[in-house]
Amino acid sequence: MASLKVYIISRLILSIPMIFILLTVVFVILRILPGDPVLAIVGMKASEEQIEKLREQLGLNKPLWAQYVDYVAGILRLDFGRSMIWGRRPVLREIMDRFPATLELSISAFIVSVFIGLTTGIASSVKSGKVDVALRIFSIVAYSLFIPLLGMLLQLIFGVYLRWLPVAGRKSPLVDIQTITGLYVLDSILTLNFRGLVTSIRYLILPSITLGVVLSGVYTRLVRSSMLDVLSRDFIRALKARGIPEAKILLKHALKNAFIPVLTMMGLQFAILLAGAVLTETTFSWPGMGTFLMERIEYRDYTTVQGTIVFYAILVSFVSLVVDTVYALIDPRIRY
Amino acid sequence: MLATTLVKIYKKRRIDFLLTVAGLAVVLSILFIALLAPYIAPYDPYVSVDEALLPPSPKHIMGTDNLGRDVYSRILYGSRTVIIVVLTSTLVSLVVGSTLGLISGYFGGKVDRALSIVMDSLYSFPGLILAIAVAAMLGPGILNTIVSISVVYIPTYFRMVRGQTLSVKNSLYVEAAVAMGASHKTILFQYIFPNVSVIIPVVFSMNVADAVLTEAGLSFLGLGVPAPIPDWGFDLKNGQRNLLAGYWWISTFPGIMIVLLALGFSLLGEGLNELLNPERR
Amino acid sequence: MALLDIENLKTYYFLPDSIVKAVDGVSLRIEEGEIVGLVGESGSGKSTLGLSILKLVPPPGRIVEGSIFFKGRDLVSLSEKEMEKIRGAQISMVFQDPLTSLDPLMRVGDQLVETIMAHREVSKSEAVELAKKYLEMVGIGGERFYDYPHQFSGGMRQRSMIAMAISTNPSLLIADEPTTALDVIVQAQIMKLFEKLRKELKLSIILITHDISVAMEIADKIGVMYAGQLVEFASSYEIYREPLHPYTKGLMEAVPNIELADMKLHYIPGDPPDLSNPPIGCRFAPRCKEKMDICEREVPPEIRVKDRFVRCFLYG
Repeated sequence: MASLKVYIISRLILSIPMIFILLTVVFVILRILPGDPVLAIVGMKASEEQIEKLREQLGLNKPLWAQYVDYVAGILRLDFGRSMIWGRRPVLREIMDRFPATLELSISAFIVSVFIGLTTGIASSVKSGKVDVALRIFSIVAYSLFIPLLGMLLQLIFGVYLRWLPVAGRKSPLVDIQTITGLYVLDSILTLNFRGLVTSIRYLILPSITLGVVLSGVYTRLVRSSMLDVLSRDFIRALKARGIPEAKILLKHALKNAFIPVLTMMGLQFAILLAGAVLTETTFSWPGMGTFLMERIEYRDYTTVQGTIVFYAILVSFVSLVVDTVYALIDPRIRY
Repeated sequence: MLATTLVKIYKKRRIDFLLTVAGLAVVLSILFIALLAPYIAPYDPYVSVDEALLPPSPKHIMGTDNLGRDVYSRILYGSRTVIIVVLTSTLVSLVVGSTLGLISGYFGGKVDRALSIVMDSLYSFPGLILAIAVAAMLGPGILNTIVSISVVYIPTYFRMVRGQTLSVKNSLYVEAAVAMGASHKTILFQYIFPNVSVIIPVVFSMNVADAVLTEAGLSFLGLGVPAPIPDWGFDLKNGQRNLLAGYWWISTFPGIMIVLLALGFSLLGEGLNELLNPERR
Repeated sequence: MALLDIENLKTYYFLPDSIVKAVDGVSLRIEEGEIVGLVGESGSGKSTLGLSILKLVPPPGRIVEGSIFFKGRDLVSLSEKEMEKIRGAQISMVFQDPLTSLDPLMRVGDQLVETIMAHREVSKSEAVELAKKYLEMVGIGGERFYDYPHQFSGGMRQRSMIAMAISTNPSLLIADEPTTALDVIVQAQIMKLFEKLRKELKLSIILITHDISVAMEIADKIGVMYAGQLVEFASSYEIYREPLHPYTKGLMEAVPNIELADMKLHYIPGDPPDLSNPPIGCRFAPRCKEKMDICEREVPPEIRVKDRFVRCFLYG
């Protein structure tokens, strides 16, 4: 397996310039665009002195290249800046407070979307005719559903009319959950907290389904086209000629091969997932990175906003690296 | 001639044809509404015309919002806002992205490498979050919203056009043309451009569908089209606080319009894609 | 009793605008331990015939009429599940392009094991041993068991396909253009391999090819197909010595002969007919140098000449 190690290391080395570029692009967007953040923070009525003081505090009076160096050096030290509002708390720490919530939502939504996507995608590729068309239309509709709309409708039906499920937040205020990882479901299991488990799952259902259904629209199409392509390949016919049963061909051979193009897209899917999570969190008042970002934008907490965007950039690059590694694990043609 | 081709397509690929037509119908209807809004809207969407929070009735077929404005009129005028913002930004992305992609792919070298890496990084970043970052820095306003959304989709066109340009440039018949002394201009216009143009309609449709959702997302989050300009995303957010109290019409109608417009363009794109690049079974 | 007895087989493809009669009334008999070459140009229906035997004809094609008796059972009437037991176990098939015939994500040895375990009652470790043995039999070292398909050369891939085909002790092997995608030297190796398998395992082989000279190398009998019909069937020696059907004569003449001084390349002028609208009467008539009036009016039946068949009015 030495070649796998080599691959991971070379991939890591390759991703460094990518992350750098991303950080630089973020820097360009956040600093070079018109709009004076200082004025936005203090308003037009502040005195010259106040403005200067704030500028110095933020390091905005330094030349651009010096700011850039500070910025990069800071990130390398894992210093993403300090909040301009809440007593200069380190931004990274604040992000890490919120990150588990987004992670938990993302994971459950991902599971929902993969489940729906795989079943409908495979069914769509195997059965022709009306079933295929119906499923294709379903996936197009699913992806076009505006997340806040779907979320609100589900809230209305299941939260208000039927009163089955809660509509906002991560857990009931009446229940305490001792946090180890920050993922409430996992923590409840680890601390044998049954009430915690129940409440965290109940609050997770609607947001996960909302985000999951919309995401599945993308997966269905991807799985379907990938399966169609694989099923028309010669080795499938050869397998049939050897008398291998149909189900085995489908699940063991076709799906595995079809999964590769799906996997290569997973990096991009993760980006779509993060974006969708922002809308989902806002709709369901889910205390994750998305609501955090919007909140800080409203408060004009400029440094925190910048730090959060940087965090997103690094997160996406990291996941992309992981996806590529998994891809190398599955497809032997890459390694040898 | 066109009629016979259409009939032939209908016979052979009925479903894809119907999908395309359905998508086209939806899109055209909404465009129509946008054009005729000032003539069909019963009320002024900017002012309060009645009591707030009235349910749908013959007088207000979609009810009134929390400020007493007629929801139906706001929907009609909102279509103009959405269409203008979305089409403008995607066209800007198309022009800028395609031009850069063409130059980058055709001339290659350091410029190409630098541009590619920047575009790839942008492309891999979550679209809506990128739009949020740009919009947050630029501030509110229609023009700023257009810029924010354009930035998100420039890499899409860049990559696509660059890819096509490269594959055409490296193909044998272009090599032959170069060997016969064809000028840059000839190669670009006679060979590369026609090949690239074929895939643009499909990508454009899918792109607009995505842009509709991005625009709605931005406005929903308060970073897009500012009040009191009628906008579906903004109105959706506006109705949220009263939703759980049972006033469902303020958010639902704008939401349905967003989905319809996105759906229309998606169906159009999907249908065109199937017709132009049919899949084998 | 013959191993394989095909009677009046018809396989058509039902396209939206037309019906392509790929195999239109073919009867053929193969004995145990016999190698039969099925020769014809593209579109003659030979591949479809091979696929029909295993009922692998892809939709929109299907068997319309006729029977295929294998060891006394009519395959046409069997269900899909019953066919699965026969495919790969009693009748095996290898295809033209070995590159795309193997699952790229699975080791070659594992694919062999999968086939063996699907049809033989053996444990996993026994299957592994058998797999290695069969790889050796086709001339691939046992240590290559752990390699992936892309690490094999074209010839090796084809040989591993053959190993997979024989690992279940089938009685019949259908080889559809097995060497067309390979170079001449590898081709010779594969042909030698077929001979060896026939001798050691008493394996019957249907060798489908467009190249009559390839078939002549190892086939005992040769069936010549044209436009969905079998136009001549005889031992390869007889075909070589005295081809009867004008088409067969054309094929034999078209084979470039390095020894003859005549440097001209012979070919059969004209094109094969449209199978969705075949000509009335003999299908080769439009291109035939020796055609007579009756040829354009009636379809020639199969005429016995000594112990061979010809579908031509010249002989009866």
